Formats: sequence, C-alpha cells, structure tokens
Amino acid sequence: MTHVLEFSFPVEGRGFSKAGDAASRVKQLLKQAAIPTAFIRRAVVVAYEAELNMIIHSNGGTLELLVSQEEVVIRAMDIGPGIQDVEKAMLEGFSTAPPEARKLGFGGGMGLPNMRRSADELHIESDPELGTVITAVIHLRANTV
Amino acid sequence: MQYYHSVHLNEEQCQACTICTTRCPTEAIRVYQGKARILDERCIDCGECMRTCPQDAKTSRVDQLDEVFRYPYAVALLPPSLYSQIPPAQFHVDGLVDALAAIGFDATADVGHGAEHTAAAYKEYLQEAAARPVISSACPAVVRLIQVRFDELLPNVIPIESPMETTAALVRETLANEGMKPEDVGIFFVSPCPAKVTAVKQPAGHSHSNVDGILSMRDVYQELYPRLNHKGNPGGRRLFPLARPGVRWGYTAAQAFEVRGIHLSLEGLDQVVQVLDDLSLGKLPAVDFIEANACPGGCIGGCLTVQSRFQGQVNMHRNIRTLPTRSPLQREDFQTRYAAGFYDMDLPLEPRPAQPLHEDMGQAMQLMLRQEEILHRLPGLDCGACGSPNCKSLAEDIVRGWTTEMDCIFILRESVQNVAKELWDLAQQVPPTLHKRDRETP
Repeated sequence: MTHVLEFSFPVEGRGFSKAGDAASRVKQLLKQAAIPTAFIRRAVVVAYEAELNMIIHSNGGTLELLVSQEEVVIRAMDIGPGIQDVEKAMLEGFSTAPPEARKLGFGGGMGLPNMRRSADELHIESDPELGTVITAVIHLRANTV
Repeated sequence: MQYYHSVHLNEEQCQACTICTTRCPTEAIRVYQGKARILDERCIDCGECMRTCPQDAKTSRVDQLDEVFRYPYAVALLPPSLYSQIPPAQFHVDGLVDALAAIGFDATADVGHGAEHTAAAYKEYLQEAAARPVISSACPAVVRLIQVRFDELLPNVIPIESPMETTAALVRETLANEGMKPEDVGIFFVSPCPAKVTAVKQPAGHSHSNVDGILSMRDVYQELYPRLNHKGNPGGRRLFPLARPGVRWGYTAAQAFEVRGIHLSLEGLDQVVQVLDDLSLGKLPAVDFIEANACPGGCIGGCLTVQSRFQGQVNMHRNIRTLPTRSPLQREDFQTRYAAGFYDMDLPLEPRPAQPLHEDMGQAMQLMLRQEEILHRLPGLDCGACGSPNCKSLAEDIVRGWTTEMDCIFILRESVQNVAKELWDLAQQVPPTLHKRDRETP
C-alpha cells in the first residue's frame, strides 16, 4: 500500500515530560487531512500508547504516521532492547516497565491491549538485537467505525 | 453557518503589531493588509486579544443601557463577579439593589442564586454520568474552545444550562406567575466578559436564550457607582435570596468545592488548553470533575470588569462576608425541577472543528504535502512578522490560498539575495563588441 502522507516524529526513551507531543501532532494532522473524527479518535489512542511504550521501554525510536485514503497507519520503530515475550505483553495488566517508569505511574500493562482494541490490525515484530516495530492499521471504511 | 462574534476590531486603532495573533488560543487572528482580522469560524470570543492588545483596538459588542427602557418591566441579572467590583466601604447588599432601581431596573435577580441550582444539578449529574471526567459548561468561552479545538471531548461537557440561563428562566417563571406578560419583561445580564454576550446572541446548547440583552459591566458600573450609598434611592426589588455559596462562583474553585470527587480547577486558557490536550490523549483518567474558567481568577478576571483581578479578589473576600452562609435552595423544589429537566440544555453541543484543508480527503492530503514542503523552507522562528501566528500556520495559510511565501521576511530576503546575485552575474557579462576595448583600457 502506498501512502500519500508520511510523517515521522522522534521519540526519546525515558522522555516522560514530552509524552503526548507526537500523538497531539498526529491528531492535528489527521484533522487537516479531512479524516472523519471517529477514526481520528482511534488513531490518537493508538499513537499515544505507541509513543508511551517507546518512552517507557525503549532506548528511543521513531513514531511514523502514514496516511492514504484507505487507511491510517501508526508505526512505532525503536532501536531496542526488544520485547521478550510478545504474547505475554499482549495480556492486560502484564507489564515489564522498569521501576523508574512505575514510580511515575506508568506501566499499567494496558498499552498493547488498548492499541489492539483501537486498531483494526496490529502487527508486532521484535528482535533483541534490532528492536521492535509495532504497526497498527486503521481502515478508513464506513463499516469499521 | 454564520457565526456571531461579540469581539471585534476597531480598525482605526489597530497598529498591526501582531501581538494578538500570537496570543490567540485558537490561532484565529491574522494581520492582513495592515489590520488584524478575526477568522469567524475559529474565534471563541474569549477576549484574550482584548486583554493583550496594547492599543485597545479590540472591543466587545454589547447592548446600550437605553435598551432597558424599551421594556415595561426591566430585570437586571447580576453575576457573582459584580460583587467583586464594589469597594467594601461602598458595599451594601440592599444598597446595590436600590442603586440599580435608581438607574431604572424594576427588579434584580442574582445569578449567584441560579448558581446554587446549577451546583445541585451538577452534583446529581455527576452521580449518573458515564463519561469521566465531567467538564463544567459554565464558562461559554471554554464550551466554544471545546467545540472548535477539542470536539472529541464534547461528550464530557456537562449538558446543564449555565447559571445565567437558569437564573433567567427562574425570573421568567416567577414573573409569569405574578401575571406579567412575557413580552413586557426584559432581562438584562450585566456581563463581565464578551463570551457571555455571544452565549446570549448565538446560544450553544439551546435554541433561544431567556436573556433579552447584555450590558457591559463597565457601562453599568459607571452609572451604578455614583448611586451607591445614596440615601434618596428608591427601594429596589430583589427576586431571589442570595447567599455565599452562589456568589463564590465568581472565583475559581467554587464549582469544584460543590461537587464531590477528584477535581481540577483551571483558570486562564493556558491551563485549560493544557488539560484539554491531556484529556484528548486519554490522560488524567482518575479525575471526576473539571472546572474550567477562561479568565485568570475566574469571572472576576473577565475583560469587561472595572477592577483588576486582584483588586476584585480583595473586594470579594470582604463583601462576601456580609452575606448569609447557607444556601437558600429548597431541596424539594430543586428535585422536582431536576426531574422535569428544567436545568437541561435542550440541544446537543455541536462540534465546530477547524476546517480540513479540503473537504475531499485526497485533495486535502495533496495540500498537506505542499504544506510540509513549505514548512520545510520557512525558518521556524515563529516570529509572527508575516501576520500569521507561527510558521506552521503560515504554511497552512499559503496552501489555503490566503497568502504567499513572500510574506515571510526571511524568504523575501533570500529572494532579494538571489535576484541581487543574478544581477551581479549579468553585470559581469561583456558584449563581444566591448571585449577589445575593455582589454585595451589601461
């Protein structure tokens, strides 16, 4: 699928104070692109959770927003250290957040489950060497609202 | 859709300084052809530009005081913030009503009384509301901000009428019960801010306002002040009892004080925007109630008041002590009204989101590509000299066809440089017939 629009936002690992900046920008851009509000809402939830995941767990990476008339794709690509057990990570309440994140109230174990609920497709590829790529797809068709 | 706006520009005074463009919370102002223009679909009438304009070029439309005399029976609706304007030495709760009678009002009604109804209605609503947090709808500028910039949060806005509307409805009912014809009664709100003016002239959440006219607090105060403490004033009529809890609504935190649960009290649009941004990302899930006032200090900081916000606070602390502490609200009367939907907005709050770049998704995306390209070329200094609030909105304004890249002084300079360079290069060219002569010149 070719996307008309491609944006990318750098996300810093442990950059808690900036949490939400990328997701807010995603919201603004989707509004400009005439995407219906219901889809924007779902895309923003996905983007925020993806952004938070990178902040809490990763050594940093990039959040991508890809848009075409058919779909909105949110892709989070980080540079490590990778998810040990993807299936477990998908369970509600399961979290491997480090103590420093928990001290700040993050790491409730709802990130990936929330993303799965809000997206139509969720793909996770993780490698301890290369890092993690999470791709969430939202189809812009009326029957998926 | 035509939008009514109370805030407008006095063109002669505008010096095109761009201060308002960068301070506007909805990026609704552009300087164009030497004057600040307000974009109708984005303005929320918060009055921030009135506050920040160094030339006082921004003003608010209000009704004139003579309008009052067109009605056989004129009622002044007094907001709690009015109690912060009068110096304690001149303040007497009945003297105020007498002074208003001397101006020409047949009766006065306190919005502080309506606020006690509203507070009770908020409490009930909070128990049954599914969406959390519940956001107060008392400040009309905040309601419009949500309609324009945060439409995804509209389900969280409490669908209960403002204290002003509830008080006006109570006035109508009381006077109708006394046998007065509805057309004979004129209800005038003494407004601390332009947002209330718009809330009456073009209501959100109901089809028709019960308020007939809006007066500026400044205009009324000028007439009121000389008549305070005046012994010869006629006896005025106060329609509803008044107590401290309702009058506290003039400050921030009064609303949150009334409802149970975890709450935030916000004042000033910077705070409000920050929290609404957080809420739209799903942050702050544990909060039950959010009180949000567009003006710093709450309504006493409104830009149609006379006293500074801080003088207002000091006056209010003193004046409020002369009022009874207990709310006169009758529980049974309230419950009957609540059950009958007396306090409910009668229309849903409609979203008024910013226009996408194009109605057609495909075309909008093409324009966004151009917008990104342009943004890349702009210096990113957000200096505002182009008349748009920042580089991002200049890029947007260009693709919307409102302006061109040459409005950016940095791009203009670059273009001048390029032209100069070309001129220089051309000047180096020597026509063939001059070649020899040039060489022979010593």
